[in-house]
Order: sequence, then structure tokens, then C-alpha cells
Amino acid sequence: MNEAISYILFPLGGMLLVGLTVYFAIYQYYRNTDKSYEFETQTSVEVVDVQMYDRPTRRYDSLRSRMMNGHNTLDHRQRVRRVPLK
Amino acid sequence: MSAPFDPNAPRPIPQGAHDAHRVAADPQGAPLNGTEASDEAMTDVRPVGEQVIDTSRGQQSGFQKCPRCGSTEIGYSPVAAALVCTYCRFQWNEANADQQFGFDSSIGSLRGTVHGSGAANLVEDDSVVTIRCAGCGADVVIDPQQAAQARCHWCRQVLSLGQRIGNGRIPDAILPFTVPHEAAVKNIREFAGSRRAFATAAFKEGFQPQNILGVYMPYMLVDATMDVELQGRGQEHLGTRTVGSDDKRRTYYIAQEYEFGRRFTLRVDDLPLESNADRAHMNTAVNTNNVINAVQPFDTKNAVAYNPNYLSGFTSERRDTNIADLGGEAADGFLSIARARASGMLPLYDRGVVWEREGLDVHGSRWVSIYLPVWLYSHMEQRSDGSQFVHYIAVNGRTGRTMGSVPVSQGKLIAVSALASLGGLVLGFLAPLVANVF
Repeated sequence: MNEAISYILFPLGGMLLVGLTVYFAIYQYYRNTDKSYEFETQTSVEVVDVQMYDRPTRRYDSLRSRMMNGHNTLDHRQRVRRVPLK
Repeated sequence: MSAPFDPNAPRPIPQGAHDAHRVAADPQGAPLNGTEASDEAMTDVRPVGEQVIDTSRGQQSGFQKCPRCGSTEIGYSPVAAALVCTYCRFQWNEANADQQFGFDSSIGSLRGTVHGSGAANLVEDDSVVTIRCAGCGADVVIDPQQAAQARCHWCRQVLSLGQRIGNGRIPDAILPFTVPHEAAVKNIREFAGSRRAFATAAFKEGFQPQNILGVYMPYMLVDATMDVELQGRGQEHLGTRTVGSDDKRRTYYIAQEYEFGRRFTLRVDDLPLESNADRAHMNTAVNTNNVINAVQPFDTKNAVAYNPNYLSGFTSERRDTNIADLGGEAADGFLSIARARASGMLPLYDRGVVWEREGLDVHGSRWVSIYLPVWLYSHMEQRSDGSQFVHYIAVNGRTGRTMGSVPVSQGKLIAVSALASLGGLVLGFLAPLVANVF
């Protein structure tokens, strides 16, 4: 049974993977829909008076992945909840 | 009167509400997330009165003369990178805008909203302007919606509209083309040249790169000083542990989670915002405006004071957006910049962070209306569902940086992808066999 799966699923998966990758790579090369000016890193800025706090909360022992669940560390353009400054 | 810049207001503040003491009472100043309006408003201090930097230099409608011979026959040469008097061949440029108008003065000391006179609120006025020709006394009519200059029918000298026309066609500053037509054509030819295999037949047949247009695009350059605070949760990788044995082995990660915040003063210098609504609308499903955005940056520090003769040989798009309308875009831009900077302040969180809350308090901003040069090639694709889709190839008129969208022949691409996927079929067959070897 396992052999049947290997002989059907893997080749099918392989086809899909390669086919879709080739399609999207070429499509992007032509249409460049992901291109925009990286203003968030390129604009000339000055950062002064940095204040920080870091408070440990809890420890996790049984995490399945190497990176934090739902991390948006580098999604600079994604907006999160706006709060007023105190 | 221009409304002050308030990144939290979804709509412009009405006249008369500029008094700092009355800020808390203004419902339109309420932030978008239903937090305490009074808290937020109290920190947002806006001075009374408008701060305008006059960039018109007192120029009335009339003659723009060659400084050497007084002729009005002035053109612009990208190769010479200068205005050229076609009568006596004298070449010159207007003064650097930053130096002339003080656009580069200390950002940290900005308070309230400062703007160039060319960035003032648009005046809806479709009346024509009548200029008395100073050469022969004839009355010449110019429709500002159509042109900035006209030739006197009688003495043939060129008359230019003064800088006070408020229809969005006269900016505070301009960055003239330095990439000449031939260079732009070459770049576009190269760009399209490496994208021939899957381009639609219509694109290849209709490819006339010499038909590019040199277009001045309207932008607002924003300088601002603000306090930003970002908060979230982050995790520090402590180690791993393994349970089970042999092929039932599982690895778990151990992490310490933190709650953290980063607060700082951010000073932004020359953030460009598209100020033509059609161009600012970037949605790759319906247009290719992202391609024009992608050829940035421009060396805006080299912008010069506006002279209508810089437009000679080129076309321009009209600014149709006011400062108050761009508050949201500016705030989003500032927050993105803040997030990018703050992501370098997280040495502990090697498992990553979840940004949860962000806020900003803009103390002062300066807005300059500017024209930026772009060479534009366009192709209209007739899609199979009957709709039309415009593809641009853009070349930065200062640096030559090129980006574009070429329409793809779906049939060809699908066929080739399917062919390639057969390779994936073979790999798929081999994968379990290879895995069993190990």
C-alpha cells in the first residue's frame, strides 16, 4: 500500500512542484508584479533616543518549529493595531 | 488654507479647528481603532496658522527669458542637462531647490505642517488665463488645464503661466531628465529583448521602443519628525530536546517568550508619495503602476526650482491629491520605515517576533510638490475576456534604472510548464528509491 502511494503520490507531487515553480518563475520574470521601491530601507532617516523594554513572560518546551508561530518580523508593510502614544 | 497633516485623521480637519486647545473636541481627529481620543489628541500639538514656503519667486504670468539674450525661445536638453536658449545657445539651470527654499533645513525642529506653495490645496478652477504680452501688448489666452505656455500670435514670443496657478500643474521643484531618449530606448530594448520567448505576439509585433514618452510624474516629498512606539512578542531560542527512539524520534524546540517595546524619535528625509490618484493606485491585478514605483529612487536632493521650460519636449501628469489626502499613506510609510529600523533592534529574538501594536505621533512635517522624470513605454494588451490591460516599461529619467511588465502568452507558458513538469514526474519516481538507499 505504501509502495502504491510512493509510485503515485510522489511523481504527481513532483510534477506539480516543478510545473508550478517553472510557471511562476517565468511569469514573475515577465510581469514583475512583486516589484516596488523598498522605501522602508532606502529612505534616509535618523533614529534617536531609543528606549526599550523586554519582559520575559513564559517559557515553551514543546514547540514544533524553529521559528515563532505567526512571526511577522520582516513584514514591514503589514500594519498591526494602531495605538496612541503615551 | 491647507489642513495640517494628521496621520490619524481619516478625513481632513475642517477650517477653524486648528487651535491646539480644541484638538480633543474634534471627532474627525479620532484614531481609527476606537482608542481614547483624548489621550491621543493631547499629544498631537498643532500650531496655529499655515506655514508656507513661497516657491513662486514672485514670477507673474509672462515671459521666461534667456538670462543672456532675453529670448523666450527656451528648450531643455537632457544631454546637456540644462535649459538651452535656442536663439543664442546659452545654457543654464535654475537654482537647487533645497538651497533656494530651505527644504533641507533641520527636520528635527519641524513643528506642524510646513509646505511649499506648489503643494497648497488644489483650486478647482477651469477658467482660462489671459496674459498681456509684454512684447507687443496683445492679449493671449492660455487654458491652464491644457498647457503652461503659449506663443503670442503677433510677436511669436513664448508666454508662460505664473507660478500661482493652483490646479496642480505647477510644482515647487523639478528634477529634470538626464537620461536622454536614445539611452532610454536602449534600456527598454534590452529589457524586452530578454523577455521575448513568452511575450504575446501582439507585444512583439507592436514593439516600437522609440515611441517612449518622457513624463514628469507628480510626487510629494515628505520630511517629518515623529515619535514611534512598536510593541510585540518575541521568542528566544533556548535549545532543543528529543523524545522517542529510532524512527519514532521527534525534536521539540524550547523557547523563552518576551513582551517587548521599542520607542524612538524618527526623522524621515524626502519620502516620495505619488500625488496623482491614478498612479498612486497600485493593484497588480488591474494595472502595472508598481513598475513606475519600482524604478525609484530619484536623487531628489538635486531638484531645482521649477521653470516651465524644463517641460519642453516632455509631458507631465497632474497632481490631483492634497496633503490632507495623503495623511494615511504618509503614516503607513513612516510606520513601515519604523518597523524596518526596529527589526534591527531585536538581537535576542532569534526565533522571530510578532509585532502587535504600533503608534506614531508626528510633531512636524514638510511637504514639497515635485515633478520626477520617467521614460514610459506602454503596451495595451487585448485580453481573451475582451478587457484591456496596460503594460508599462519604465526607465528612471535620472539613473536609467529600468523595470516593466511584458504580457505573457499563457498558452505557451502553460505548455512549457507542463513539459517541465514531466521532469518532475521522473524526479518523483526516483525520490522514494533514492530515499530507500539512505
